[in-house]
Order: sequence, then C-alpha cells, then structure tokens
Amino acid sequence: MEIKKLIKSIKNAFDINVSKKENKKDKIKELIKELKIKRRDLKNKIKTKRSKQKIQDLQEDCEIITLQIRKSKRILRNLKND
Amino acid sequence: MIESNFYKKLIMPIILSILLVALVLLGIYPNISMILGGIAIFLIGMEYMENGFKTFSGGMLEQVLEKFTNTTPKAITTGFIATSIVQSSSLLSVIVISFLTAELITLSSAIGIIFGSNIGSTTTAWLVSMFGLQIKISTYAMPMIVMGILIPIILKDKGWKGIAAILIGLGMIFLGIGYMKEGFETLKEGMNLASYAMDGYLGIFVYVLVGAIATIVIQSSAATMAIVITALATGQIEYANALALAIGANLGTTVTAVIAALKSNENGKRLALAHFIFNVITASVAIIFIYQLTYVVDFLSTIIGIDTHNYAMKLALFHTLFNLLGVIIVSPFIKYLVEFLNKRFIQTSTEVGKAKYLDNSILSMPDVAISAITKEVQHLFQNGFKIIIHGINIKKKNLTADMDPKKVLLDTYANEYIDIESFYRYQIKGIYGQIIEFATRAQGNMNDAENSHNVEYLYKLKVAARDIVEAVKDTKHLQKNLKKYATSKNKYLKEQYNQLREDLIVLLRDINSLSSIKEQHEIVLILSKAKVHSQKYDMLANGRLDNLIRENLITAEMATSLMNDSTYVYDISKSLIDMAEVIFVDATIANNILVDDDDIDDLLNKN
Repeated sequence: MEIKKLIKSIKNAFDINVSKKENKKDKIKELIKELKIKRRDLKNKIKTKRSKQKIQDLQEDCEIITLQIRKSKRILRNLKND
Repeated sequence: MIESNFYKKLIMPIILSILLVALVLLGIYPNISMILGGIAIFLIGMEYMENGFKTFSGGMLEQVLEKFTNTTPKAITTGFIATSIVQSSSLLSVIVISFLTAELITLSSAIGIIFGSNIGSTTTAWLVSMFGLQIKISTYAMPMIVMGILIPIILKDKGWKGIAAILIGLGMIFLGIGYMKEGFETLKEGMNLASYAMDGYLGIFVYVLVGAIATIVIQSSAATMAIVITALATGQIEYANALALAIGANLGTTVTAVIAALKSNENGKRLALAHFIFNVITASVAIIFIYQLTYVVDFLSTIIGIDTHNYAMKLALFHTLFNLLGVIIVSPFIKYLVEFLNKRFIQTSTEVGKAKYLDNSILSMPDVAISAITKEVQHLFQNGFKIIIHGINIKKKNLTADMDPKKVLLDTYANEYIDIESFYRYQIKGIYGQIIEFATRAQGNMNDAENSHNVEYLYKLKVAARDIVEAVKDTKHLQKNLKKYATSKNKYLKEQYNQLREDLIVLLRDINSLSSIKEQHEIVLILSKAKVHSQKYDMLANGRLDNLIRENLITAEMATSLMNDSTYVYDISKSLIDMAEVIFVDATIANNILVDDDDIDDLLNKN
C-alpha cells in the first residue's frame, strides 16, 4: 500500500497537470480553514458588541463567510470527482 | 554580453566570416585554416548548447531566476549555478534584462546575477582544460553529435529535443577544440608563436589588449578562452601571456556590452555599465596583483591536485580566481552602484497612456510574459480607477483615507466633471490595445500542452482588461445624468444620485485596498462581500425607485434615468469585481471562487 502511495506521489511530481490540481486542492483547503477561523473570530466578536447595527453587520459578514465556505467546498468536491 | 539580441544578430555573420577566411587560407595556410574552422565549430556548438538548454528547461530557468534572487548572495549564487549549467552568460543576460524591464527583479538582483554569471562563465575554461583537451575527439564528439541528430527522430518530446541540441552543442564544442588543438600543433612545425612572448608589464598590457580585441572580433570570451587554452596546451603561447589574454577576454566582453547598450533602454544601460565597472575593477586588480595571483594559483593547484605543468588547468583556475576576487571586492558596494546607476540613467517616465511592462524580448518566455501582462492589467486598472473616481467627482486621497462616504461626496474633485472620453482615449485605449496585441502574440508561443493553463489564464487577463474598459465606459454613461441631476432642484432625485455615488465609493475603496492585502482569504472575502453588496444596492435602488414613483416624487423621465443609472453602477461594480478576482486572487484558485449569484439571492431573500 505504502509503495503504491509512493509510486503515485512520484508520478504526480512528474505530471504537471496532476501536481497543479493537487496544488489547487491544497490552496482551497487552506482558504476554507482560514475562513472558518475568521468566522469563529467574528462570532466571538458579536458576543462582545452591544450596538444592534454592529451586531447585524457582523452577522451579515458571518453569513457571507458561510456562503464562501460552501462555494469553496463545492469547488473542492468537483475537483475530487474529476 | 548584455544585449543578447545584438549578440544574436552578430554571431551568424561572424561564424560565416570566420569560415570564409578559413576557406581562403585553406590552400596557403592549412593550419591557420584548421584553427579558424575549429573556432567556427566551437561557436556553433555554443549556440546549440544555449538553444538546447532553453528548450530543455522549458521556463524553469526563468522561474529560478525570478524566485531565488531576492538577496545579493542568492542572486550571485543563482547567476553562478545557472551559467555553469547553461554555459551561456548571454542567455542569462537577456532573461535578466527582460525581468528588469518587466520589474520582476530589482537592479541590485540583476547586478548580482551578472556578477555570479561572470564566475559561472569561467567554467567553460575548466570544461575545455579538463575534458576538451583530454577526451579523444574522434571517440566522443562524433557519437554525441550523431545521438543528438537521432534522438529527435525517435523521441518527439520537447525535453528530448533540448537534450539532443545540448549533445550536438557539446559534441561540436569538443570537435572545435580538437581542430584548434590539431591546428596549433601542426602550426608549431612551421611557425612558433611562442617566439612572440613578451615579459614584464609590457607583455601583460600587450596580451590583455590582444585578448580584448580577439573577444571583440569573435564576440565570445568562451571562444577566446578555448583558443588560449589550446594554444597554451600545445606550447604556442607562454603561461604568463595566457593569463594576460584571459584578463583581456573578460574586458573584451564588456566593450561589446557597452556598444550594444547604446541602443538599449535605461535598464540595459545600467546593467551594461555595472558590468563594465565590475570587469574594469576586476581586470585592474588582476593586472596589479598578477604575480601574487600566480603564486596563489600555484599554491591552490598543489592542494587540489593539479599537475605543476598542467598550465591549461592552472589558467582555468586563474580565470575563476580573479573573477571571484572581483565579486568579493565589488559586491559589498552593489547598493552604492545601484544608487549611482539610477542617478546616471534616469528612467524617462513612461507616458501615462503607454504600456509599462510589455517588452517584446519576453514574448518567448510564457511565464514571464504572463507576469508582465498581469502587471500591465494592474497598471490599466490604476489608470481606470483614477478616471472612475474623478469621473464621479471625488478625490482619490479622500477615498484612500478612512473618511465617511458622505463626507467624501461633499469634497468634490473639481468644479466641473472631467471629460471621461478624452481621458479614456489618452490613458486607457492605447494600453488596452497593447495588452491585447501582446497577449495574442505571447499566445503564439504557448501552443504546447504544458502551456494550456497559461493560455487559459491569458484569456482571463484579456477579459479582465476588457472589464476595466467597460467600467470606464459605464462611468462615462453614468456621468451624463450625475452632471444633470447633481444640482437638481428635486431633492429626492439628488439624494438618489448621491446614494449611487456613495455605493460606488464603498466598492472602489474595497477594491483599492486589495493591492496591499497579502492573505488570500481576506481578498476573497472582500470581493464576495462586494458582490453581495452590489446586488443588494441594485435591489434597494429598484425598491427606492418604486416608492418615489408611487408617491409622485420624481417624473417618469427621471425614473427611467435613475433606473438606467443604477444598472450602470451595478455593471461597473460587476466589471471591477470580476477583474479584481483575476488580478488579485491567487491564479491557482481564481476560477469562479467568489460566491454565486444564486447563493446571494438566497441570502438576500432570507433577510
């Protein structure tokens, strides 16, 4: 099994298209991770705010981040299925 | 060395002239004819090697030079390694000049690479003295050439074609050296060039001059070194004189570079002068301390195991040593050299309406061409951005400062709105045309499968440039009614138009902030938020419009104008967001990464 994995990774390293795809997957995964951290920070921030407008703005930001995460996951799924 | 295009134009006529002279002398002096034939074959071999490496590396060399040259030691090391492998300082210099023009590297990095390349070019002397003189030419050179011819017939891959050209090049270099050696050996029987040997500093100066002239004539210090080493190995010149010839060969390349740089741009001139200063200092040090250096060479030779009488290898060591010494002496002063060169050759500011980064010399390097076009689209965006800001009559400094959008609106740019059409013609149209033309020509060099991603990205860059043009044109249409209704007596209408300007201010501020943000998730988030807001504003504008019509606060004509203009604001936003996704988001993920319109609709309907 390990040998198979090794052969695959060597093959990927020489195949430009495969390594590009892997690179894209990694970058999108990184993006999702960063967005989740950002959303968690915003949610913590909401708890400390008193102004209704501020809370509403932050909530809207959280919703947009959720949309962005969903969109990024969709792209990632499509890449895996290719 | 510096202006490689100039060198390229000269090299073929030089080879042909050498062959012609060899042909004329064939009946009278067959030995000299053989030496000349050897030089011509050697030069052809160098050409093959250079082209072979270009094909084989497939853009890798450019990537390495762009990424590993951010500090002077890195730049020197990269220049040295690259030239040692590629065996062509002229190939390196053409890439360096192109990078400088496209502002992919700084002048100090470029100087570092050239310094390193100077040491790297001394490996030719090692190659000639170690292998060229010892390998039996008939045994190795010919099979190499034959293999180089056969490989492309059997293997069609681009990489193999490159390897084949390298083999032919290397074979021809050895073959050339073989002919030169044979020529000098038989020449010895009739004529002893060693009898012209000169001692002392007079001899040094005379032979430095001879080496420089020889290099200027044949346009290749590597060829001069090959002649000197073969002549030395056959006893046709004395060791001390050969050392002076090596110094002369170094100086000779600089003279060629300076002549070529006269036709070059500021960057070419700066780099040529840096190279000239470096070589003059290096040559002066080598001449002044020639005897001390000879002792050092003798000392090092015993350490690394070079035979006392192997003058060819000792000459190669001397060549490397004095170039290395030059780099050690000059490189601490690169900072001051850059300051001096920047003052000496002042960059004539590029006309606002002309492309800054598109240089024809980079057309054949796909990755570099893409980087340059990306920069040019950013340049186009800067021009378009300014026109849009001033077009809606606000000041750029207020937009970049953290000022309330309502206050930004009040502090107008001018008493009258600017004429967007004339600004478009002067600052946008020309650059846009140049981008499209350059991109189309660059695409001509991206026909292979390896470049399919580059072609795809190139298309996106063209679309991004078109988006900027569309945004400016939409601003022109919007401006007509902004002018008309900004001073309207109908306060409701005036309010609506100011609201449209406010919406644009928020968007422009967001997009302007992107160039200073490094984190990809922040860029993606700002753009997705801008996308959501632009749709929201459009819907709100339409909602506001319904109320105004229902309550008879504006006329039907005003309503249609407002409806059209809110569409223009939406279109401007869309164009700028689409463009920003291409030029600010990492190219690996920038493919419809932002939130979808359907998702946004769901979100807005939910709220």
